[in-house]
Amino acid sequence: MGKYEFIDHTADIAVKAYGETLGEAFAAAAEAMFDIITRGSDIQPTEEIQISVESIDIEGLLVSFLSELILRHEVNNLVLTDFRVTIEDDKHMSAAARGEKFEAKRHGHGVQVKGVSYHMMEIVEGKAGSPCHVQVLFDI
Amino acid sequence: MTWQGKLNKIDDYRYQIPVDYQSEAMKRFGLKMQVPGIIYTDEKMLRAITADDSPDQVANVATLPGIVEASFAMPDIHHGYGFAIGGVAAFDAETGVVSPGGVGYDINCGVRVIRTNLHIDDLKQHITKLIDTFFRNVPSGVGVGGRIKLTPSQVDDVLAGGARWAVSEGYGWPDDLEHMEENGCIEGADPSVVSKSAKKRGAPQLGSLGAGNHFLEIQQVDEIFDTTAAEAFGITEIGQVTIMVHTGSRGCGHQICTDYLDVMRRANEKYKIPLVDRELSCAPATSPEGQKYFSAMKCGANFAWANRQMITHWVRESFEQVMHLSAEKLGLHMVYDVAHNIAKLEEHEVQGRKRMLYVHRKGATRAFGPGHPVLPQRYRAVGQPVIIPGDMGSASYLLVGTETAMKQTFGSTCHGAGRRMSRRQSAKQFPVGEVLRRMEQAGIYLKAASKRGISEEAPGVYKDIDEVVEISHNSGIAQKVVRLRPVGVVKG
Repeated sequence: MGKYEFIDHTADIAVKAYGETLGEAFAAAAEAMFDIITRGSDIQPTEEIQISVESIDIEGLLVSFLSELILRHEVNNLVLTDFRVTIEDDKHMSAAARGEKFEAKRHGHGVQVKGVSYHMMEIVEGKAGSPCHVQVLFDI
Repeated sequence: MTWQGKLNKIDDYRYQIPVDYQSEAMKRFGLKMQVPGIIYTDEKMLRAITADDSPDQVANVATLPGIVEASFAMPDIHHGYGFAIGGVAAFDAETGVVSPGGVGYDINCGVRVIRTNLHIDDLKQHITKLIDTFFRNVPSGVGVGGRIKLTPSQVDDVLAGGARWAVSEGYGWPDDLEHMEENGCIEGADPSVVSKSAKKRGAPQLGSLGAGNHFLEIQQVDEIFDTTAAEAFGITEIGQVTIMVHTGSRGCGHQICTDYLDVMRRANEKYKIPLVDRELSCAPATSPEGQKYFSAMKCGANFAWANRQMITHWVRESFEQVMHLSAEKLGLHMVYDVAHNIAKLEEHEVQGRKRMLYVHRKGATRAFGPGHPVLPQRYRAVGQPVIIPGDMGSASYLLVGTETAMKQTFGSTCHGAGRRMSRRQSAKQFPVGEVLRRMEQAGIYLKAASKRGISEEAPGVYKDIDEVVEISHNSGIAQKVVRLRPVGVVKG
């Protein structure tokens, strides 16, 4: 099983992302999002960023996390990979990621992600032995 | 998955979801519809609409506080999140709500049409050069920003001033403003309620087309249905050339929506508004959260009007570069500019009584009828121009707003064709080479920022625009005026 898979949706793109922990599943969702943005092009890990986000619940946390990454992508012109996520509780998390500056020639073959929706959202913490997964729909 | 709910046929073009219908989500949360749902469609199109659960989304919106008359779905309705795309919902200004989900991420995504006094026969040999020049002059594509760098105080001026700001900076003509919804600048936009993030995301993108379904087209008039209205639009003959711009508020609007979805989720807890879907998050219209969102949304809308205005300026410059004639000589006048993702505070007559309403149009176009006081003199007698973009291979339409729309749908109609196929499916079904070949055969020159966008936006992935417009026309919520056919396309 891959770290994530795409789910067909008429207007947008949904992703189901897996991990041993919820943090890993969040990280896989972030990988998937940059896969959509760059169409799976290679991202060199030349710089590192740290982020922390808070929300009112775990679903809000996932939306805020991915929204923050879109913001970093557009404002700082970054494409990111190698996400490491630490979920402190349902309302707080931090993450680190590596990446490089966006280069249209190498990375500009995907689509723009406008936002992260709550639609079709699933966050499942695996019980003993079974992996966690999150499902999220990107507005593109 | 086919939708199995109840539908009552009102007439050939209207179907009602009765107020006693309960979607699964409504049952789960113990909520009821406060008003019925009304879907504008015909028997044939209805099959496409009930192929997914978009009727449930129409019903779910009807549970929100203060909704007036009905939760409406236009003929191009398709599955969105929370609100369906192609939805119109009006909420009482005192007892109702405002909801970012009822507007969407791309605030004031919209369309404008510029006419020319050129005939296609005089322009044919210049199409390729014109489109290539557009492509150079108007930034487009993923991660591609605008040509100008704004200072933070300039960003605030854009958010407060919209297209009016752009014209004052030399982008376009004062006369343009008169021929735009809200004159290109919606009043009451306070930049201080827009986050730094939204401003930072927007600043480098002002004056760019973006990607996805956004485009810049050269078109020719294909058919005229209503010569009086067409003449008011400045369109007098078959073959006359027009230009269409379809884009929105770029990252600025997307971030405003993201920011306020979070604010609204917190407001939902605070004001104890029960919801069937988180994407319907909202706040009382009179609350500080509701008012702040409404003002921030107006800022996003103004950003979009400034954006389309700057693109218009570069379109005119491109024509001048290629044709060696001034834009004035070429008659590059604005026909109109409409928003199709927006919420407005409007006065409407409801059961004989005038009421102030927050009308949410998500994938729907304002279609005010003849005589409406907000219309410019030029259109006062015929009604508001309505612009319906189609896919890049078929056609687009100009319609006019009607008295029926005023009476039935708070002066609203459809906004476009609506996708019928996912992007992944379209990539399989419409290889780039084949799409390009078919476009060429149809005599349409295409220049796209990304190859992938070509399959994903292939003509076949959208519903039939002619059918969508036909339902709007036959139901009376807009009247056909002109059909436009693309001859050259820039795709983001």
